[in-house]
Amino acid sequence: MNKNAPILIIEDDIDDQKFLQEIFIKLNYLNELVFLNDGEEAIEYLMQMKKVPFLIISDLNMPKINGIELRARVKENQAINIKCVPYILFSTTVAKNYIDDAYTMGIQGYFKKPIDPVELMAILKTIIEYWKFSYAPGMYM
Amino acid sequence: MLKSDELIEANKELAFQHVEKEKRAAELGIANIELAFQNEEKEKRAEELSVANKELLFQNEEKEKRAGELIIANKELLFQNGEKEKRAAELSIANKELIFQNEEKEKRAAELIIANKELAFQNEEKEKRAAELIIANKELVFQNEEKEKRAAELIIANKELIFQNEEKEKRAAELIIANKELAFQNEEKEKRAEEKEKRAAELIIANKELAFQNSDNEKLAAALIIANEELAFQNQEKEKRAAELIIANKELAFQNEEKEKRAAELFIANKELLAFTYVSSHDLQEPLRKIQTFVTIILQNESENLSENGKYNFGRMQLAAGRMQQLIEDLLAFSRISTTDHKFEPTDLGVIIEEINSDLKDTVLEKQAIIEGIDLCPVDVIPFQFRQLMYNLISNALKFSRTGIPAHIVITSNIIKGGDLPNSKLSAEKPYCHIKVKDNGIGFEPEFSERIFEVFQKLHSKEVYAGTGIGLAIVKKIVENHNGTITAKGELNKGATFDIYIPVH
Repeated sequence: MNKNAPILIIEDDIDDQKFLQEIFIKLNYLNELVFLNDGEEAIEYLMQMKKVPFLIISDLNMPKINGIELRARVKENQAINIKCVPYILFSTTVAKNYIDDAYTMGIQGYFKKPIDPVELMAILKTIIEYWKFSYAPGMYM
Repeated sequence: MLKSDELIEANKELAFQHVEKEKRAAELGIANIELAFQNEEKEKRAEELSVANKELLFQNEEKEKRAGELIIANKELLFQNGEKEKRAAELSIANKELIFQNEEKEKRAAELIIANKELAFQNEEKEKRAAELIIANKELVFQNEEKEKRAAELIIANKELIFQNEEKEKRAAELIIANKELAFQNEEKEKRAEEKEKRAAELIIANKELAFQNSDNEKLAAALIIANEELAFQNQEKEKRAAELIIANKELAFQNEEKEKRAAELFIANKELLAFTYVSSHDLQEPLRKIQTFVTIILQNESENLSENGKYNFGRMQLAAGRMQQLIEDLLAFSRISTTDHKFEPTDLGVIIEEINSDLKDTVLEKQAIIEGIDLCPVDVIPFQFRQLMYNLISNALKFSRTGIPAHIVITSNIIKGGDLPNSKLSAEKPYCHIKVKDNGIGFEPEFSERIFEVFQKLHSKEVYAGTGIGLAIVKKIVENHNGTITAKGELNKGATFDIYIPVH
């Protein structure tokens, strides 16, 4: 895993994509941002992906394959799974059953989408700074 | 000469030619025969080929027919395949439907199995009771029979005694006659006669005694007969009662079934409603969050482009969206509380109160509040629900504290019999855990003591005290999930007291 490798954002909502994009522009990291519009597109991308991404951020509530189902499919595929750490979920909903299921599928974090973009920026910065120091299996590929 | 020589030569030549021609003719004859033979062979071959051709033509025609049939058959198969694919798709849908129905039926079956077990248990109990009644009846019948036998024996014994008495009376009469005879004969032997008279008198007394005994026995027999009749009557009554009980049992079993059906229907309807609330609340949250985010961005980034009025309006929009978010979150909490499949565990209220105290630390400091748990007893509850209950009551008490007066919240609990508590809804003999939450806040007017537990019921404008009016509805729901009762007492500016009664098992 390269600290400057791409950050994958799996998000079906164009407004949320815009919020994230604007925040990443302000954060000014070197990582390329790759937006994937739904679970199917994400799977397709992950299957052919050569590089190990620095970070994967996924929405929970998406059409066809939701964030937890998508993580479950990633977990089933050992070749992809090892590249998909850290895998972070963002959702409006923070119901206990979702959180339980998501961690069972091997995510590294679950965050409630905040209302205030300033707060979202603080969360993203914390996540990225933390993972810059943390070791992950993808580093040894 | 020359001419003749030439002629000879010519003849020789001719003869030679003739011979040659004959040879040639012979050869031609042989060749002809050979050709004739070859012709015949060829004709035979031609005939065979002609036959073979006809055969091939016939086979071709057959093959064309067969090909035509195969084309039709292929079309038919294609059509059938199409139909089968449609059918397969329909079957796939039907299968999914069946799987769903099966799951529903399995759930229903599981519920029915439990209900059946209960009925079977009730039936067994009733059968045991019926068996006991049958044994008791048999016992009574046996006792009756024994009594009847005894009575019959007594009647026979009485008859015997009566017969003996009669015999004795006859004998006595004979003796009297004999005595009189003797008396007459022995007039002069007065002493002797007196003795005999005494004997006769004694016999008379003995007879009277026997007669008296007979009448006693007859009375006893009569009493026994009456007792027997009474027992027989009681037996009949008991049989009637048993028959009535059997009918009543059937009726109850039927009513049970009906109630179970109704309960199952209500259970399903309830589940659907809960699912609806949950899904709709969840789906409402996303667009609302985006409205809030956009308003926040506009107020953060476009502030200088807005008029004061515009800023004010966006601020109001932000507040309204925030209230709606709170409403949705509270509704979600309320619908989550409504699901009752949770485990009861022995729980220490003191620990819960400490956790809440720490969660609400900022407010506690701000209100200079003291939260005390005094004499708390352990109680069997659903821990996370009870934590929510205590949280709602304590945060309410903090919210509705009086300005300038430090909030003082006292929580006590003890186990006490229903009969010793001032609440008519409780069973007198059952023990209850009585939890009391008392504060010194603004209280409320006593006429609102029931309405404050209704969903969305608020006593204050949202500008004065924020809130959605769901907090106490959740509290009541949780108490009901524990089969308990909650009441509120209050007076304006004299604090509020919440009394919770949870049955102890």
